[in-house]
Amino acid sequence: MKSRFTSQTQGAGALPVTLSHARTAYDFEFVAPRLHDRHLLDSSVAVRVFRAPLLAVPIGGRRRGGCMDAGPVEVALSIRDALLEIPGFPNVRIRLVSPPGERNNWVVEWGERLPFRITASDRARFYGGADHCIAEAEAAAERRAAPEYHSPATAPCGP
Amino acid sequence: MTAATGLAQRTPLRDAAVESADPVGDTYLLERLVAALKESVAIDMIALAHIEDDIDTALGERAPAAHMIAPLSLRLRSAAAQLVDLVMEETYNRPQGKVADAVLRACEALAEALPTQGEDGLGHLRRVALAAQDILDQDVIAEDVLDRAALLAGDEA
Repeated sequence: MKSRFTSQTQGAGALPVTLSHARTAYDFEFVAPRLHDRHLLDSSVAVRVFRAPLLAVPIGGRRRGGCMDAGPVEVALSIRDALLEIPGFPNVRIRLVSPPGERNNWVVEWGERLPFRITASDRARFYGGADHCIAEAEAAAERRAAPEYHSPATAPCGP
Repeated sequence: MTAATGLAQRTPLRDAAVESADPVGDTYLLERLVAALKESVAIDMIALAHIEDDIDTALGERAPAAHMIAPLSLRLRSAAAQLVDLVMEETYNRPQGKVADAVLRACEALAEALPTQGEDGLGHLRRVALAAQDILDQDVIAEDVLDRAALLAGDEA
């Protein structure tokens, strides 16, 4: 496990990605209380491409898939390369998510694919959200006049 | 011939200089992008292409080897989720009767946490396999979908 926490450069032209202990992630305190299966934090990693390390949580328990906003394609490719071969991050892949007419925005995903037709509460459950997150999502959906479905093409990533 | 169609016919479809230009830009990045996208597509397509074999393996008389249960479950879950998406698309988000029941069973199986090992893992694998088979049996999804998935995944249809 120790060798995981080293700077990894995949080749000339690739952005260096550093993996470090999960607690060093800037969003650790935000994500941790929102996870149903807290034990996943033990095998999570902080992914740093430029300055801010962000948390990548593996799949397990209620959490069926993971997603990380990457922005430019070079960043997405570097994060993908860094997460390959790490236990808990199966089927790491990249996807373009920007809506038509907007700047290219890529995400890195792992685990299962987020279903296309999914409610906000099911989405929270898919990403392993704690019960209160699912309840909040359900309450928000009830406040809306009509049920809202999120396409993964426009939905932001979960923890 | 109008002036507009005449102009359109005289306008070259490609600039000769562009056509003869050597590839420019970050070819290393492009190669990585193509490879990553190919793999990203194959992850989903392989799951769909192998679904019938995987169902047979999961539901066969001989249980799959213990070390195969988790990867097989992941692949079948991916395929079952894609089948649900396809059925919802085919039924305009309003499946009825037995089709709706099959979708519901698949969603319930997919909502289960992925067991890490043991009898729980095999039970879960078989529930997902049964749910996937149930959806296929409804004959809602076009017959060639699995063949096209195999082609995209690089397998022979």
